[in-house]
Amino acid sequence: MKILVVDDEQDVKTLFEQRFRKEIRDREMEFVFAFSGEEALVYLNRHEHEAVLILSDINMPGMSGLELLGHIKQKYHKPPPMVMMITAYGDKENYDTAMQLGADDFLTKPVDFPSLKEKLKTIS
Amino acid sequence: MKSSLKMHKFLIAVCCTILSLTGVAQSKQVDSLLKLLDIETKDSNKLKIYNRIGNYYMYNNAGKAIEYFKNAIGVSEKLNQPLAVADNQYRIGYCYMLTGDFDKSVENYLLSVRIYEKAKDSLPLSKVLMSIATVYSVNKDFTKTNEYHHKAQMIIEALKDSSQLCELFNERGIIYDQRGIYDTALQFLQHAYKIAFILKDEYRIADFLSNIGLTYKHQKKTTEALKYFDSVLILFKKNETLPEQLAIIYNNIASTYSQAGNYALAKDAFSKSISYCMEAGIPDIVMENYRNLSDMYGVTKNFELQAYYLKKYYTIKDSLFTADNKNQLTQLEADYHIEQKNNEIVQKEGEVGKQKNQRNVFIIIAVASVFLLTALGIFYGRIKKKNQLLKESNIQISEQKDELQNTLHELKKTQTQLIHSEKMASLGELTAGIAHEIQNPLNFVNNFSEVSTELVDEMNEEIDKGNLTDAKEIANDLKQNLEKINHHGKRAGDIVKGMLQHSRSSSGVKEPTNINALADEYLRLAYHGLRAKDKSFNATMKTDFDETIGNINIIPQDIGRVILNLITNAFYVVDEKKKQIGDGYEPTVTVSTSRSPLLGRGVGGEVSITVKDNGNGIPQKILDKIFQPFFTTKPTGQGTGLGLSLSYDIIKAHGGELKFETKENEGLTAGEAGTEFIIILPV
Repeated sequence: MKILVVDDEQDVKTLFEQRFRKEIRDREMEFVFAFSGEEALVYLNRHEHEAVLILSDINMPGMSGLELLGHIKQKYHKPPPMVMMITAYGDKENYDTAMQLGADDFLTKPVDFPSLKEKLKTIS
Repeated sequence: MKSSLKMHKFLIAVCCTILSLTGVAQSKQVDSLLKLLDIETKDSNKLKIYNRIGNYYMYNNAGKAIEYFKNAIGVSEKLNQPLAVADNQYRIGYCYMLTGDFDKSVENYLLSVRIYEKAKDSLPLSKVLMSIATVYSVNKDFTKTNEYHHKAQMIIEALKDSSQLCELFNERGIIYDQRGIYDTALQFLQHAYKIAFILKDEYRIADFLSNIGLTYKHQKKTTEALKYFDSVLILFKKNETLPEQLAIIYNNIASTYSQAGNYALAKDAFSKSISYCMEAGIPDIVMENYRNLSDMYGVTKNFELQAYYLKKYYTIKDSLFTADNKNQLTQLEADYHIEQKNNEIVQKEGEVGKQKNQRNVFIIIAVASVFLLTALGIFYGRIKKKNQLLKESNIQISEQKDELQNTLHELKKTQTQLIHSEKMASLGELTAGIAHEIQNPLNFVNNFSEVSTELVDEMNEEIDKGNLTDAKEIANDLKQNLEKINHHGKRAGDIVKGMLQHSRSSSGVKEPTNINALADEYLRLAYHGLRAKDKSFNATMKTDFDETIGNINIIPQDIGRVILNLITNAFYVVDEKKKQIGDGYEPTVTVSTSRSPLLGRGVGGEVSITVKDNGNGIPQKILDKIFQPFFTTKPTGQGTGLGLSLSYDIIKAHGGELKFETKENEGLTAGEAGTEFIIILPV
C-alpha cells in the first residue's frame, strides 16, 4: 500500500519512517512525502492512482490541507484515494469542514501512532 | 487660541505642501523635474525648473530650496534678467525666515529691494518691504516693523493700488493683534475691510472680517467675535468656498464658543471643523481642533475626554513632525509638558508650606501682642479672622493641587488601560497560532521518544544476536532522535517564552536580538493565528533577510509586537483584496530586513525592517489618520485602532522611525498597488 504524507515539516518524514520501519521493511507499506499541498498535487498528477491513501496536515503555507482535500475529492481522481487529515486543530469547525469536503478520517496532533497503525492495517 | 487667520493661511500653505509632497508624490515630481533638468539645454527653461524645484522644497527642506533658488539666480544673471534675480533673492529671504535665520533673511530681502528700486518696479518692491516688516515683527523689533510698513505704504499710495493697500492694513492689524494692542489692531483691520468692501473683493472681505472677529475673541469679547464669524460664514455659503476655509472658520467659532462657556455649541462646531479638515486633508487644523477640545474638556473636568483628545493631538503632531524629521523635538516637548505638570504640583505643595510658615509668623505676632497689649482683644479677633482666611486659601490651594494630581493620574491610567487593551487584543490574535505552533513540536517530542524506546529494545535484540553493525545503526538513529526531541522541546519552550513576553509588560530592557529570527517567528505566528481563525485565509509569505545584520540592541517583545502588528495588518488587507478580486490575484506579504551603514563608517548606521503587501493601498484621504489612536478600517469589534498608534510610539521610544509608502489601486493594475511599512532602527 502506497501512502502519501503531506506536511510542511521535514521531520515528519523521519518520524513516519521510524514508526513504520517494520511495515516498510516488510514491504507492507510504502511512504512518499510531499512538503506542501502544491507538491502533493504535482505528485498525484504524475503518479495517478499510485497512492491509495493520503495523510495530510491542514495548516501549511500556500495551499492548505483542506484545499488539497477539496481538489482531490472533487476535481481530481476518480475514484478518489482515501484522505485522512492530521492537524493540530481538533476544533469542530475544522472537523466539520474536513468531513464536508469528504475526508475519510480526522486525526489530531500529537499523532497517536499505534491507533493510526491499526487504522491503516484495517484499510489494507 | 492665539493664531490669527494669517497664521492659518501659513499653516495651510505648510501642510498642503507637506501633504502634496509626502513620500512618493514628492520624490516623483522632483525626480521628473531633475530628469528634465539633465536634458534641458535652454537657460530660460532651466530657470523655470530651478524655480519649481525650489518651490517644492520650500516648506520641507528650506536649505535645499535655497540651493535651487541660487541656481536660478545664476541662470538669471547669465540671461541678464535682473527682475528674475530679484524674485529669487526674495524667495531665498523667505526660506531663511522659515528656518528662523532672520539676519540672512533680511540680507536677501534687501538685495531684492535694491534691484526692484533700480528697476522702479514698485508693486513687488512693496511686497518685499512688507516681508521685511514681518521678519522684524517676529523679532519683536516693532520700530523697524513700523518703519518698513511706512515705506511700503508710501510706495503703495503712489501706485494707487487699493488691493495692496488693504493687504498692508490687514498685515499691520494682525501684528498689532499679536502684540496685544487690540484697539489699534481693530482700526487697521476695519480700514482694510472698508477698502475691500469698496473693491467688492469678497475673498478679502471674508479674510478681514475673520481677522476682526479674532481680535475681538482675543479681547474676550466673544459675542462680538461670533457676530463677525457668522457674517464670514454667510459670505462663505454664498460663494464657492474651499473646505479648508470652512475648517478654519468653524474652528474659530468653536473655540470662541468654548471660551464663552457654551460647550454644546462648541462641540458641534469642532466636529464640523474636523470633518471639513478631513475633506480638505489638513492635519494642522485637525490638530488645533484636538488641542482646543482637550483644553475645553480640561476646563469642564472631563478628564477622560481630555486625555483622549490630547493623545489624538500628539499623534497628529508627531506624524506631522515626522514628515519634517523633528519627531524627537516633539517627544521632548511632550516630556516637557508632563514635567511642567509635575512641577506645577510641586510648586503648589511649596505654596502650601509657605502659607503655613506665614501663618506661624502671624500666630507669634498674635501671641506677642497678647503679652504686650492684653486688652486689645479686637486686634486678636482680627488675627483670628486673618488666620481663618489663610486657612481657607490653604484649603483652596490644596484642592487645586489634588485636582492637578487627579488629572495627571487619570491621564496615566487611561494610557495604561489603552496599552493593555491593545496588548490583550493582539494576544488573542496570537493564541490560536501558539496552539498550533506548540502541538507540532509536541508531536515530534512524544513520538520520537516513544519510537526511541522501541528502538532501544530492538538494539538490545541485535546485540544479543551479535549483529553489532545493525545495533550501531540503530544507536545512530537513537542519537538523531534525541537531538530532534531536544530541538523540538526547545522550540516549544521558545514559543511559550514568546507568549509570556508578549503578555508581560515590557521590561524596558534592551538586549542583543537577532532581528531576522524575531521577524520570522512573528511572521509564522501571525500567519497561523489568522489561519486558525479563518480557514479560507491564505497568502504567500516571502522573506528576504539580510544575514549580515547580526544582533542589534532592542527591547525584543516591543519590537516583536510592532512587527506582529504590521504583519497582521498586511495579511488582513491582502485577504480583503482576495475576497474582492478572487482568482488571478496572488495575496503576498513580504518581510525583509537590511542594514545600511553610515557613510564612511563600518559600524553604526541603521537597520530597516520592511513589511510589504500587495493589497489595495491606503486611500489618500486617510493617509494622515492611520497613526491616530482608535482609527481603524476594520469593522467594529475587529480592531482596536491602537495597533499602529502604539507601534509608532514603540519605534519612537527606540529612537527610530516608522514610515510607510503606499500606492493606491485606482488607475493602476492590481499588481502595482500595495503598501510598505518600514521600521528604521538606529544601531
